[in-house]
Amino acid sequence: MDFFELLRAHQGYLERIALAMLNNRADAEDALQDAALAGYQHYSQLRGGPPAFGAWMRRILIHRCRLILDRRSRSFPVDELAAYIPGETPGPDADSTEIWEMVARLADHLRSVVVLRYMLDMPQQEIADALAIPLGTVKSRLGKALELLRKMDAEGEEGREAR
Amino acid sequence: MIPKDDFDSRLSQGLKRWAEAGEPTIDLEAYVRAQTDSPCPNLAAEAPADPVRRTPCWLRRLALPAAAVLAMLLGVVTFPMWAGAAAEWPLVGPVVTEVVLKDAGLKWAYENHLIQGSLAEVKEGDVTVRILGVMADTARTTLVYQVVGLPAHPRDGEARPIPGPGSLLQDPPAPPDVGIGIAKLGGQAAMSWQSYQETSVGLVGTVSTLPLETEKGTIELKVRIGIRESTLQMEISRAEAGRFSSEVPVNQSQTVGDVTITVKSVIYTPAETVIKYQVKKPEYWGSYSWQPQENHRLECGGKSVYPGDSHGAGDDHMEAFPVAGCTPRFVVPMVVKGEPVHLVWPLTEGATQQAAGGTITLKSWERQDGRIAFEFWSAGGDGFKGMDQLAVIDKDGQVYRFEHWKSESAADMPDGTKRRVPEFDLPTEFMPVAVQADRIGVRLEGPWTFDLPAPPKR
Repeated sequence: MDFFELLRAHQGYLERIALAMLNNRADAEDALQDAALAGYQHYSQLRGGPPAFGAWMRRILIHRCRLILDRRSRSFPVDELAAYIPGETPGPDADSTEIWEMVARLADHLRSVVVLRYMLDMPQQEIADALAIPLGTVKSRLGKALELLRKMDAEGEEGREAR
Repeated sequence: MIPKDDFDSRLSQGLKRWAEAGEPTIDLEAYVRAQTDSPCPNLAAEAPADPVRRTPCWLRRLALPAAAVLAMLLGVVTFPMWAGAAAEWPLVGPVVTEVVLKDAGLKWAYENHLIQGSLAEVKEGDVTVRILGVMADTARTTLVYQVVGLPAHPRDGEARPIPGPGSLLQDPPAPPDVGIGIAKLGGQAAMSWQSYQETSVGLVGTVSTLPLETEKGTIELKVRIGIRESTLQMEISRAEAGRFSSEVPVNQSQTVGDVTITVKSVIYTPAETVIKYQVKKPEYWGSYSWQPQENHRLECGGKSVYPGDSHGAGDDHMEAFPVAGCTPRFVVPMVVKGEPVHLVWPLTEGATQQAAGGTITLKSWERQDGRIAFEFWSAGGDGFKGMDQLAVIDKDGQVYRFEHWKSESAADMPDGTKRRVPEFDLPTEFMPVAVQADRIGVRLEGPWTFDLPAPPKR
């Protein structure tokens, strides 16, 4: 089966993964282009045929995203919340949009573990391997991220009730 | 509030629905086809009979002189005499190469065997600093190094003393007791910048400086291990890697307000587009921003690319962008300039001062063991971009000026509120009653826009 046919079938989802990991459209495009090129060049190495394509491309893409995140973290100070412009990438319903807007406000090192755990259902050890960080770090970042997300959710709930 | 288990489920389901709603927005097929000359083996094709003679896909992307291309297709290596030095790196593999491959320019050089081998090393006790390779071209001079034998110190996520609940004071891991700097390049004093990370094979990092002004020259490194300092000298050349890049003069200046930006040149390399520019204004603060739309960018074909690496020495700045794909325009949306002020907050939680059209509130402060940190919130006044030249005052009016920032954490909220927590060293005997700031950063709106010349045709 042609590589590009499979890529087209999975591209929308892959774009959202890249945007979720990097929270920056230009960086997400870079990661997608690098991953697509790498996938094209190594397509003959894919085992398991077309059913394995999605998971295989996701791994390549996550690796590219990590390289960008690692480079970014050395250049910029790290804090737990980042600036975010809402409304740019809505979900299919208000609840998923609200969830994404909360996650998007997390800083890179917290958002990436949340995306891999809760969007892609990766086990914690696999997240540790994918991001090249210790398992303990994955656990502590997930804990911190959930604490912040619950707080944002509670503040959002108060706002909704007030209305 | 939604109970814990329900929240986790809502989070997971919500993120999955959001991701599944994605639609393609860029033409990846066109990009991939543009990068490759001919189809690579696909899933249904058989492996070629003689893989040694197959030209790897990545080689076809290079714009190389015809003789070199022919030589490669015939399996003949025509690289310079130090070619293949990357293969001599001890422990070459995913750890070292991943550090190198994060830098687009180094990645390209590594893949094309253009990193000059070195393997010079300095030992002091159990610690060894090893220079693995040098990359020199028209845009930069970069050394890749490895440090082994350092005593372990806490890493992110591992157990270490934890500040008290809600503490403003940070406890970062102790920095490694080794330093590397480029002291001279081509006989001239040089400034250098570096990055490193801890890996399973020790510290691996890069230290960089400006490009050689001549094709060959000497680089002098200072390596400090503990209190001992050594000097390493190496002969390097930018001839091989440099022939794939071109520096094109620009010499365009634009003035907005009282800030003049001059783009001196653009360097086109296979992996990056590097802009060399100057900013002329006393009290220039910088222009990095937490807001992506405020950062420098290259515009090309309706898309924008943002810098991966930037550094400066004096008035000169260099920014390396990913390759834009067409002749780009360089855009500086805004700059931050310093303005003298005299703002004083009594050390009372909630004390406020007005600056740049907004209100800066001292939300809290904390002192412990010779350190002090302040939590400032600023609201209103989009022009306010930070504070500098902080000091504390005691009850007798004595002023203690903070010469060095120990750390600062920062967060910009979606509603525009900015939170800044700077931390400083403060002698235990000094008893402050107020904190002051004598300079603020204020936004100056641009844009400064430069249409860049195209790279010369090869």
